Amino acid sequence: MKLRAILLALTGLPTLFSANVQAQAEAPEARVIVKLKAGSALKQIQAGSRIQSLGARLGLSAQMIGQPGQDVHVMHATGLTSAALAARLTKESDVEYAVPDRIKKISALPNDPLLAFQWYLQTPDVTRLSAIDAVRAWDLTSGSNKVVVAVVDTGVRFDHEDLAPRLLAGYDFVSDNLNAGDAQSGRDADASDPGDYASTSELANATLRNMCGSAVAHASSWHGTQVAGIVAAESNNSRGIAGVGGSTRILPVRVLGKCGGFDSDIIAGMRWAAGLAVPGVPANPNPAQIINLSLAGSGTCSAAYMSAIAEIRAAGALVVAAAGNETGAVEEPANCSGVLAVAGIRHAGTKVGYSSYGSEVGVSAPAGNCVNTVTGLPCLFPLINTINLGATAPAGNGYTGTSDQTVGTSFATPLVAGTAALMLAANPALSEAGLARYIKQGATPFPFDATLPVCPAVSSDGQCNCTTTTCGAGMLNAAAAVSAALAAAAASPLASITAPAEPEAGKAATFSASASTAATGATLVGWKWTQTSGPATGTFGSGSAASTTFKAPSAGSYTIRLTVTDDAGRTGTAETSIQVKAAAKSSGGGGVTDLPSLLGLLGLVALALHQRRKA
Amino acid sequence: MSKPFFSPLRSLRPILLCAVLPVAVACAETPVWPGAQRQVIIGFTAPTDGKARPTLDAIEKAAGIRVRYVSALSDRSCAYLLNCPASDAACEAVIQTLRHTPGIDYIQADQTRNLP
Repeated sequence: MKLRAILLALTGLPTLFSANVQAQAEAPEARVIVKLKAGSALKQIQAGSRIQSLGARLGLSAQMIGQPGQDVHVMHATGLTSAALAARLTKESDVEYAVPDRIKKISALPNDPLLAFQWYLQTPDVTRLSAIDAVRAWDLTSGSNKVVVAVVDTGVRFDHEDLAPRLLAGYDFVSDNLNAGDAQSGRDADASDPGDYASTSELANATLRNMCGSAVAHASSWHGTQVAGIVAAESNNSRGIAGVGGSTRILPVRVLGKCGGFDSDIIAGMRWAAGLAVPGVPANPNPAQIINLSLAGSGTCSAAYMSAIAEIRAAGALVVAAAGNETGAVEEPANCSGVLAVAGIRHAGTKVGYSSYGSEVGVSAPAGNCVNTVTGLPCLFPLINTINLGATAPAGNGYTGTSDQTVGTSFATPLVAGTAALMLAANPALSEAGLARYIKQGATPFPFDATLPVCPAVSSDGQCNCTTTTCGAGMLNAAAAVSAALAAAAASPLASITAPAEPEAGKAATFSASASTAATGATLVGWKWTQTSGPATGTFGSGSAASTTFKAPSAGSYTIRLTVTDDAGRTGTAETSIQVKAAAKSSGGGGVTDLPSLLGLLGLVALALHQRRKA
Repeated sequence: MSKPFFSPLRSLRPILLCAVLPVAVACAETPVWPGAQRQVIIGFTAPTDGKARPTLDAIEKAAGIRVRYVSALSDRSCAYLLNCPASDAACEAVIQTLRHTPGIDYIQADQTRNLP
């Protein structure tokens, strides 16, 4: 019985592995309604052939999947988005129009009861100029569960009902037992937040007291749970709040404990989140495309952060970081080159007093502000977050309320990360640089309040009128950013793979990207070949050339992915499945023809002769 | 051109020892020293087993003080505790010495971050 169970489990493993890899690397699919012009010569051939012919002109294998009217066809192709295919078809002389065949849903806002209090997600108006218009971004995309945002923070409460469906397993990188507070020695696989409170007795320890910078006891912040909820609390579930990122998944990476966390653990956690190896830690099965860092500290960007961020960007992940709450220079790691630093603005769009600011900031977003309250009255513009209700150890789960002062650049940052996740859902081909570019491009210009100084000068409470040299490109606009991502898809290059007909296991087969095309005026400058599924891992002659070889070690079905990049940094992807046949058996009764085998055989013969002489 | 901090082959030796002697003290938790310590991040010029005894010996020899491995950031950067107080000028001199040691790309304070 036991043996049968083990065998069943083992036989299921390759299927599980294959499905997992394929889910992560699924190529985009296009579905477009295309109408031919009245005088098109294509009308003389059958409808299905018209579509195949149009596809062939674009280097695509296209099929007709419907014909809603005379000369009107629904065209399907893989390797590009619907927007990109429609844009290409529109340029064809035979085409009257080509538009994406979109899915329409009942137009309604998510039914999360606290959404009405999430003022920062609404369409901006005179009372909330800095609101990010997530509600209109959701009309363009509801997010994707293939997009992963790492929340590198205090860990999360896995039992929070508004977060649980969105959470991946994550990892705990807090290596110092003194501030870990989780009763486990060193790093471990449990990314849950045990609470980051520090009691008076704990703070009697000088090392912990120095880390805290204070001897005053404090309650648990449940900071990671709050940040994760802003990114991707489940929406439209009749419960609590809505996250910005819709169906986005959260990868919790615990790096902060009592009184914060060390750079060494943060950097290790960031690297792991992006899918990079960290010695002593298992590989991350769900690498994040976006890394949220709602943490900061003083100092210029150090070599350790610089090196890690360069690696993470090369791996394709966007790093979004909080500018800091010091009304001063942008803090580390937000001040590192290549990081999208986020400053905080008030509901009115001016810099909120506590936010750090400077030339390193990429964009500003609502961070919450209570400055216009008086004692005893609620905070007017807080963020409404998922939280645990325990003062120290975990208790029940809930939400922050309008009486809580939930403010800080910590909370502006996940609004940007969640927006980036929506953009990736809308255009999976976007690079990390593309995400940052279109977030900035879509930002709304800062307003001007004549009663306030212009940054970097600040009022007595730290406020000022933002400029593009102090608070980034503008105020985050999620709808505009997602629109820019969709528009970019139309100009993205088309990847096309020419694959060998019947490759053989153990032999190098040639793959070519020569049929790939860039948009008019652009040039292809980069090629990346990867294997996304298969019974075993094969090897490429070159992973970054326009033409390469691939050697599959054994027979079976393999999927090869090509990503092409143009000189504007736009990318396009294509995938192809190949059926690798078993290596042909050598004739002549198993004769040895290759040199290594021949040498091995000669060695065996020599050994046999030697032993025979000894005997 | 910078050279690796130590031979990768030599670094394998303590790992092998760990494999055959699971209770080997060299591979287990080193006792925490009393008194002040300073936590730093060391970046190596080449992939290095930062936990291996030869690496620790080499760092201790260059620094002239006791050094304890804390954690890895990558295959070429690790956190260490130096057995000297943070405010001590001699500790700063040790860091300067390590900064100029062949095989070490950079050394920096392992600072703490908090929640903005």
